[in-house]
Amino acid sequence: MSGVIVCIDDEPAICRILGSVLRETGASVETFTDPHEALRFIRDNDVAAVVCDHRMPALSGLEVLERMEKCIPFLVVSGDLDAAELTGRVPGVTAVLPKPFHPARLLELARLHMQGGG
Amino acid sequence: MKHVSLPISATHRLFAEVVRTLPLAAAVFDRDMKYIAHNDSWVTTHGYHDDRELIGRSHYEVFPEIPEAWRDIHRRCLAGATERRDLDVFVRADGGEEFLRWVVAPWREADESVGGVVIYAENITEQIQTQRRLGERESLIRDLFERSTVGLNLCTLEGLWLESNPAFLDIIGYSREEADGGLTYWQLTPRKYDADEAAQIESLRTTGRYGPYEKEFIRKDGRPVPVRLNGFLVERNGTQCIWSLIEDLTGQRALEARIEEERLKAIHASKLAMVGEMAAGIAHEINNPLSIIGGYAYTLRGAIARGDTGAVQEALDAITEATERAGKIVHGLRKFSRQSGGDARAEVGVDEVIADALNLCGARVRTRGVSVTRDIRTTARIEADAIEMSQVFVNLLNNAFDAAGPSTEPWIRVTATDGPEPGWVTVLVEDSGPRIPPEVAERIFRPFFTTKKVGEGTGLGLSISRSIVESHGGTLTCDPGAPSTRFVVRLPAATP
Repeated sequence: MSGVIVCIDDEPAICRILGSVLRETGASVETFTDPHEALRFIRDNDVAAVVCDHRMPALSGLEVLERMEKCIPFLVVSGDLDAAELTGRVPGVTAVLPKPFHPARLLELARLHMQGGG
Repeated sequence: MKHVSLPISATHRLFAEVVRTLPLAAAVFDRDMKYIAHNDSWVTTHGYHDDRELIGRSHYEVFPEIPEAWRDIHRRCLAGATERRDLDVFVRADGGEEFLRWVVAPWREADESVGGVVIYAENITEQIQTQRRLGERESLIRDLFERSTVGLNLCTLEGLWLESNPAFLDIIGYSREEADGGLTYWQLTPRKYDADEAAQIESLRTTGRYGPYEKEFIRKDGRPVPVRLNGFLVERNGTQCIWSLIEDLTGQRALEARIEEERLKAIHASKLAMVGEMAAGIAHEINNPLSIIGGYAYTLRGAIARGDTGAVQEALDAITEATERAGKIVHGLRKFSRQSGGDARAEVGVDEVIADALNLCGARVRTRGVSVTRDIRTTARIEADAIEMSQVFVNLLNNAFDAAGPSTEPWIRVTATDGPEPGWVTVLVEDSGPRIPPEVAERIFRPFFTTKKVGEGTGLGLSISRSIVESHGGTLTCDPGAPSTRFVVRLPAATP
């Protein structure tokens, strides 16, 4: 597996959790609380997948997706009640993982789409 | 000229002088209706402006317009009859009408034969015209009284009804016979108005007027009818009476009740909308700590297996903190959703209301890097529906959050102080968003006014918030003079 997994969540504690769970895939993980910083990193690096919160003050998850110039598997992690409705509705959203999530389910999705997506 | 040949004594001279200056018009005629004598009033009363002497000329030659009916009267009187009329109309040659009261009587010669007639006449045109004008005025006023839609009533100081118009009878539901038959004000006034009545009577006593005064009358059918009264003292036959104007407020009260009902419905609808909006936000805020708890629990297994006590400690701290965070939010929510009954007002500290509101939307604000300052410089308590009041502050804080969001260093400041007058509390909700221009400052309180994007706000928040604050006797305004966004809530403090 090549490439880095990028995690974006405005809450540092969530970033730390996402990081430590996703490292179990064997891939290296970079976490960002600032979506703009994350977008710069994605542009300049070989990124295998993006795991992104939806509701953030600076940019929403979908706005991050819009601004990405690459086609990379994009997992939305959201605590919004209607987040599940995004699945299959928004082009580019690979999967939606509602919060609270079971870390095993996160791992499963990451492994599935990183393999499938490249 | 027979009178010239009569011997004139001093008494006669005096008598002639009295007759001459009498305000009553008098003239003496011979059998041919030729003038023998007349006084000054005769000439003025008949509007005779000719310089020619009347004496010796025929009455019918001087006044050819004298109707046949009068000539008949003269003939009858020359035959010995005496006739009088209290009111007669004489149409002059120029078409003018004159109203006269007259007496025609024969006068007799020494041998008792009729020598002619004496006519006494009084021009009562002016009195008649005045009477007519008064009559017209009275009928006009009577019409006003009978057909007015405002109830009119005259009663004695003891409350006995003397005059009632149909509108008033309609309001109280009694017939005229019943109202005029000894019904009194007090029979129709519920006892609960005793103190108010005393105040109105005092006003009558000192100023001669009372009202506007709102009360109820008990109708004949037992139903209370809301009315507004005002009136004044008048004198009638030497005794003092009260004229009252009575308006039926039934329609107005029904309208007011409907407006109030609509207001409560709007508050309820906005409460539901806000609860829905908050539920979404709160779900997000609770799901985040739950994610942290679940995630750290998962990593704990590995940390324990590795014997990494540092990682175990970090996970446990994070779990504890996340649990507390979720708990606070749930606590705030429980308070908010508590059953709001009809009379949900109770004394509550201003600091408590603000703390509740901050707990409800504080998590949202804090995690987004908006710095929140709470500066409570009062211990005042307010008489409030805590839920409604939290709703106001949640709304203001949510607005502040939305306004502050785009600024580089977003902040929100909530300041509570005593004042500006004793017995009042002022709460300022300020944020780093741009100041609100004066031309918008008042419009933002109108229903459906919103500066937010379509779908983001209901446009009802501020109008409902203002209505809630006002129903608590306070004011909610926007201060366009402040350097940034500033909303000002003023509330009367509960009296200790």
